[in-house]
Amino acid sequence: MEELLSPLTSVSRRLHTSDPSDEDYDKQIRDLIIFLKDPGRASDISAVSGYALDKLDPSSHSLSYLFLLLHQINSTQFENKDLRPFDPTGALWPKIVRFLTSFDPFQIRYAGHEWRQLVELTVQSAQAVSKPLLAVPVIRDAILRLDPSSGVLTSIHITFIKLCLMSRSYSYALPILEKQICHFPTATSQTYQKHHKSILCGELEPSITFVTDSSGFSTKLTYRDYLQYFFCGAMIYMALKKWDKALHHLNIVICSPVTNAVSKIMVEGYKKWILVSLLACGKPIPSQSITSSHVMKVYQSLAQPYTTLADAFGKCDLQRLKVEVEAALSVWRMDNNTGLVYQVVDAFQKRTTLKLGKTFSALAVADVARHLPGRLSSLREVESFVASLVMCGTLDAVLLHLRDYSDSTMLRFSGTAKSRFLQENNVQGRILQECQSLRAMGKAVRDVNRGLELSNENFLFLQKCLKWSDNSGKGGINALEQTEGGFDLDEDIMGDIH
Amino acid sequence: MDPIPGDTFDSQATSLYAGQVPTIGNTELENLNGASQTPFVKVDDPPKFELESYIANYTGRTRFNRLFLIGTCSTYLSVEALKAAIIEAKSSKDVSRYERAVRALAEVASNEPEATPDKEWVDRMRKVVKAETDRLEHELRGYKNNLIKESIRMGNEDLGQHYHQIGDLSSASKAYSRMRDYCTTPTHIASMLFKIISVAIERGDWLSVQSHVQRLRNLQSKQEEQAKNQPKMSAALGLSQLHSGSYTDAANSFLNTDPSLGDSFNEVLTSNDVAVYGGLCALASMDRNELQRRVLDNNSFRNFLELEPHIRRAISFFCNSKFRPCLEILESYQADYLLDVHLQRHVSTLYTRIRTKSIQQYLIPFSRVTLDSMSKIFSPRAVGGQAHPVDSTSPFVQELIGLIQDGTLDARIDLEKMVLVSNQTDLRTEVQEATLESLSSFVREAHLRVLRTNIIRAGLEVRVLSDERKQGPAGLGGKHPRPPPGMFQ
Repeated sequence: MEELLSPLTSVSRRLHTSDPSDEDYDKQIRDLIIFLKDPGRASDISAVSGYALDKLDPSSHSLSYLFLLLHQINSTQFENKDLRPFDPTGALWPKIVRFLTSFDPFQIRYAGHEWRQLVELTVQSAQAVSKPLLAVPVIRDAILRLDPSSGVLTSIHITFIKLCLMSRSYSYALPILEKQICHFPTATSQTYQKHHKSILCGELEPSITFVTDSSGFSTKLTYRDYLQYFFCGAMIYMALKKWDKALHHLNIVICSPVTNAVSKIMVEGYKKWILVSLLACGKPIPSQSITSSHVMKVYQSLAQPYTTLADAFGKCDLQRLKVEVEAALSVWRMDNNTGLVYQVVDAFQKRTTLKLGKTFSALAVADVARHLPGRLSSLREVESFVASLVMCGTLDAVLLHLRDYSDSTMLRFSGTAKSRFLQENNVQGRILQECQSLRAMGKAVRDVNRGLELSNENFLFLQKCLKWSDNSGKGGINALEQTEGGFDLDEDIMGDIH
Repeated sequence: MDPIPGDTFDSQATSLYAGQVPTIGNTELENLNGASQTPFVKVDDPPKFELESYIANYTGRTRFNRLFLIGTCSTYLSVEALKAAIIEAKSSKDVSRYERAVRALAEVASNEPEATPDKEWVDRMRKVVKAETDRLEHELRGYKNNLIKESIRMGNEDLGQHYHQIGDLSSASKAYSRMRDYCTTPTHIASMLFKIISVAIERGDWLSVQSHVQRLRNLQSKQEEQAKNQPKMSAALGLSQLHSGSYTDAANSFLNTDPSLGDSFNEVLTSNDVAVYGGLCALASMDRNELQRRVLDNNSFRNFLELEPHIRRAISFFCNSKFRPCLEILESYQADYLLDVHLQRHVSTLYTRIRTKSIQQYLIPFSRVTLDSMSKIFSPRAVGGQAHPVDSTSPFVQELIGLIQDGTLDARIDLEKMVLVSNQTDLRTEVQEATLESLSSFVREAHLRVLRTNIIRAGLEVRVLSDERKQGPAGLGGKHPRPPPGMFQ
């Protein structure tokens, strides 16, 4: 037992990145994995797994702990003669939770398949007892722990988002959703990557190096997966009424590149996009220019009731808006958009009230009622409606009672009289925030650039250039040097042709 | 021998048109007097002018058109004007006009002796007209056979003139246009173009007026000829621009009209009209500095303004920011302008613009104005009549609301203190907001594009997938077999 424990503890968490060096550490981990995966020792390992799990520290000996856990789960399932996932009330659950919330991300980079297996098992078992909420925070922490930037989409992301939607734990999903997904597990078939084995445990390696399509952190993705991810993300933001973010996510969905077919998810996304754009901006907005025209045509033909609704909204015509809503009730119901549509109608009232602030600096509630067409009939109702808007901060205004109580309440819109200090503070905070996302974006762009430079296509292109310059009698070495920068290359090609 | 087949065709065509004279004449005049058709204006107030002296200023066919318009629109002058119109029509050869005038009079005052059509005159005139048309066409054919250019030109001119007189305007302009090939001197061309222009003005074909004025301008002729034509040209151009709604251009054209116009263009408009049209258009489209510089200090236009001193006074009141007297003058002359054949359709637009401009000008120096003092200037009648002149429902406040909502006024209404507060712009905040907005939209756009690049790089574009993926819902993990490698490059 002891002789088994010593190799299991051979790799522990590095406290400093230099001790041992990346290369040595890499070698140690790879040896351990070979040891753990050795089929000859499988029975031995599973024999000690129960005992060893109590002894090992998941944050230090994460790899061993992960393998032992899986062995343990396998044997439990084997004993119980059913392949049902384990019970979250059982003894294993706390161990799994402990592991997933404290594992060492550098070690786990080597065991993507096993890690994913464990996460999926966790999800399935939580679902099996209809308590998806149990798994949500655990998995969120696990994802963020493995990859704090969370810039690469994996199948776990998608599972997680669906789990959040199912358990209605929307705000749990925010830490993940707020990270900007920029990458997808790239294919390792690229020639360059075959030759260049990066050291997975390096602290500065970007997540794109260890989350690849062969690392096992993700199943093979299809377009449906990422569309679903962004679509579900948008739904979560909608549930939280964060319309701006929802709009961005839907934008991603409807702007996805297509070859010839248009996905149903994209069409549904477009429908929701129209409604959300009304809620976010208060008017129909033009769609992103990236969307190609034939996709736009498909959208428009399939989302007719939505466009007419948006049109009525944009023309500030409440009567028509209501008619449109009534006319297409079955459509909303079929698309599961009834709730959103009703919110659009409410938003129309809100917009009209907000617009009054542009025309008036103060007016009586009776005048508000005159400008608000529709269902708010009595003055009292209007007043409480306005008061609710003021209270939730949408309307920057105050309600005053006049000195003589005979008159009704006054609504006074506060102008730009905010305290300068508060405002500056607010702006500064926002600038910092934007700065951060801009920086993240810049990094993503650099990564993409690098990936494209090292892609097969680029190499093929460079090869072609090389041939051209050979034909024209110039030295090949020259062309090789040019690979450094694209601009020089372009110039030289032109020079050769002339 | 070439012209002959064309000639026979032409004569057929014209005779065909001759049969349709009444209908064509009608539609064209309706076109001209469009205002009397679509928004049928009824003017109840007595105008300031005296009908006889007013109409004495004009010559030619416009006399009837103006009389008829006054007769149908003014309740005060209708009988008098229509009677004058009937006399006018009877003195000409245009039967359809006579019939229309009689019909209109019969509607207003059926007891008048003039209200019953003079059948005998109508029949006689029809015959005369027919004979005249045949004669002129026959003559023209003769000229064409002789191939004498000058004769053909004159024949066409006579024919055109005849058609114009009998009210067949499209045939008239066709006949005039045919003169083109036979004109030998620039003077001929100029006179032909002027004839076409005056027909086009009567037809209400403003595009053709503009294009022909352009041709006149490009015509190379002597200096003194040009100088003689200029006033009429710019007046006609101004008129067409007025009708197409470009008031700034119209104001410029009228302002450029030389005072030597005098009464040379009386078959269309008088110098008084130039002053009124030009003054109103300028008032509606120019700011105070421009008005002072280009209208009041304009020596040549002063000659026109002297004919209509109230316009001059209105403009100078506007320039001195005395809006009440300015608007009062305009209001008192509204009835006159509504009875003008060219101005009728544009009076309300022009007045609204002038009013809006005055309100804008009035607000410039204030940061807050009481609605009371504003309504004293811009709607004095309401102040006298209503208990709450500046209630939120009063028309004046409603007008202000409309102006604010369409962005003309940068101000807000305070209905508690009853003041109009002009908006203070905080440039710093605006710039900050705009910057942050553009920053975040940039980040979003960049994210979209990076994602797009990566999606394409990973081969994940939306495409028709092979059947094996349809076995189960995607993304649920390892239960499903992985798709065969090679699906993506």
